[in-house]
Amino acid sequence: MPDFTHTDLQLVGRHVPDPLGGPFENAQQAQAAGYDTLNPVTGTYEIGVVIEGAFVPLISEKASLVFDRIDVAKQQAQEAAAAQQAQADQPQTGPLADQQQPQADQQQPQADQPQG
Amino acid sequence: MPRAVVLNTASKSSTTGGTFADTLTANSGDSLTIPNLQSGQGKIVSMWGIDSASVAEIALTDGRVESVHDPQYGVRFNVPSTAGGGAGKNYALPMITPPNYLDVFTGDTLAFTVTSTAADAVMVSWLTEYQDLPGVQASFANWQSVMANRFTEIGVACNAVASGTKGAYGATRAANADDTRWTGGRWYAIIGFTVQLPVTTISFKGPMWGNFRFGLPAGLVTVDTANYFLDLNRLYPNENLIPVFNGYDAGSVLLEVADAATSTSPKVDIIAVECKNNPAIG
Repeated sequence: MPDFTHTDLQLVGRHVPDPLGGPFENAQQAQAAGYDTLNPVTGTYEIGVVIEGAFVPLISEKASLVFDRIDVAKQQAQEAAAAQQAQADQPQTGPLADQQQPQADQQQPQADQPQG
Repeated sequence: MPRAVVLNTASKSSTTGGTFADTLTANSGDSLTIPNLQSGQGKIVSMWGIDSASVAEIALTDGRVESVHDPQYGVRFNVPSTAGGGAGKNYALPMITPPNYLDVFTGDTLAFTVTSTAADAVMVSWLTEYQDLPGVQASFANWQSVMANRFTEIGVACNAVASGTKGAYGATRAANADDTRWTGGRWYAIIGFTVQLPVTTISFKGPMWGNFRFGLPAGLVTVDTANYFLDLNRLYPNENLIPVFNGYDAGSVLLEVADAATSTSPKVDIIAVECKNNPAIG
């Protein structure tokens, strides 16, 4: 039996923004702090575990890279959903529709057969 | 013989991906073209690069076989961006490391083609030493001359941050914008700096260096930057590679940060030796 003192640790993540990285009210404030964008994504994103209420970081990434990946994932999910919806909305015409129609007709009599 | 040490960066903020399908372009103010040199020759003494999210391979070519082997792939460099615990964790990886170097010649144009994953940011920075660049008399010293004039040592904070565009230089920030303790009339030899957060490239620029950039990497494997220019000088003992400026000009010493992530704030502390007299040579 392993002598683990803690099991079922919760994996959590948190954004730790740069304290000097905004939010800024206008472009002049952002420029004075050195930024060339009004709302920069600053600091790090820490992934860690909570042990008896204490957060213990395991890995730290630059926050902008993490949020970039989230944006890309969201965009890909939206594109996939839109493509799926477009496929579902497409009217069934052409050779495929012709082939499916007789098949449905063949199944109909079977459904009408009395259950023995 | 006016000599100079010049930093250039080339980047692409979002690649299309594929086998050597992307070409990097020079950052604003930088150039891929080797300038006219009296001696006709310079050498790239250091080069580093990064891919923001995936492994990559970079091919460096130019049109001259005396510089790189051939114009097809030239010198190929792998960039193991995911090594060490995750994509984007390395920030800068070495490509050409002293005492190795690459000869470059007047009129040549460097080309960086990249094999990468779509939507990654890729950037490469390099330091080129010119023994005789017309119009420039850059102020650089060696360690012996710095030691001969050494008075005290100082670390000065400068909060330059990276651009909102991946790979591009961020806004310039003067060396005295966040810490004004430079003393007018004293000479300062920058031996390196430290950061809180690794970044791909930190650039210094000022009239005392011909308004050309010079700089260094501060990635995970190159983050030992406290003595960077001193170490570079040790690896090239016959060269003067420690930048020097006068305290009166601290407002003209401009720092810029370029990174494969957006808006990175590395929190630079410049480490400099204060000198009684000008230690610059040449």
